[in-house]
Amino acid sequence: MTVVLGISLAMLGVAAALVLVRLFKGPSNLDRIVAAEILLVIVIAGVALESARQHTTTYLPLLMILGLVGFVGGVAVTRFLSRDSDEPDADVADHPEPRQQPEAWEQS
Amino acid sequence: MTWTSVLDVAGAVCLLLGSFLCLAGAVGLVRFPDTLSRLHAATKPQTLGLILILTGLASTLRTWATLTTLVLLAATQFFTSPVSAHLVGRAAYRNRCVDADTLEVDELSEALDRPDSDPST
Repeated sequence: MTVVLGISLAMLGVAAALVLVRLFKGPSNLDRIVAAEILLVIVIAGVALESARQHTTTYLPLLMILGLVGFVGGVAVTRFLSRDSDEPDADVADHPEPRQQPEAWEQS
Repeated sequence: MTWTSVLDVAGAVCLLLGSFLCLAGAVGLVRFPDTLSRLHAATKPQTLGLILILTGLASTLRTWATLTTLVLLAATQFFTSPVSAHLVGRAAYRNRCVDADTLEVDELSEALDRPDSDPST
């Protein structure tokens, strides 16, 4: 069991590092939101592994709260970033290349 | 081979598979080219990987309180992760982070070009 938990924790660590790479590189803030949600799922998985290692139920409310906070945070930030134009996308033909976020949200 | 050892082995296998799925999703998140395909890669560990890990935890701990809490958590993940993925995909389309050349079918732009379309949908 210890070996299995060690291997699982190593895989989760590599996964978290890769997700952090995407969180850093972007390029758009929507990619960062997706990456942040996956990072929270990996954290939930890590807490579950620790709970299995210690054979304790102490961390179960923490798992529940992390799941709900991840959903609420992701939805709130996505709604904040989404651009609801009044006109239907008439100027799509003028911008055949994918346009990035408005300047105000541009990072780096 | 008693029931407890069977459950222990099954739980260990589930924990391993769930962690591997998280790793695969993270690799996809780094390697895929645009937001929608990254979203596709990222939502796999969010549901199936988490379900596997919670199954492993439940069969390791083996109490009814654990089982009910984890079923509740898995159910909320089932309901909430499509919602947030839909919102991210919609925002990506509206912000034109989607490369239109890579889309096989783009029914949304046809629907939006129609004069009687409701722009808020």
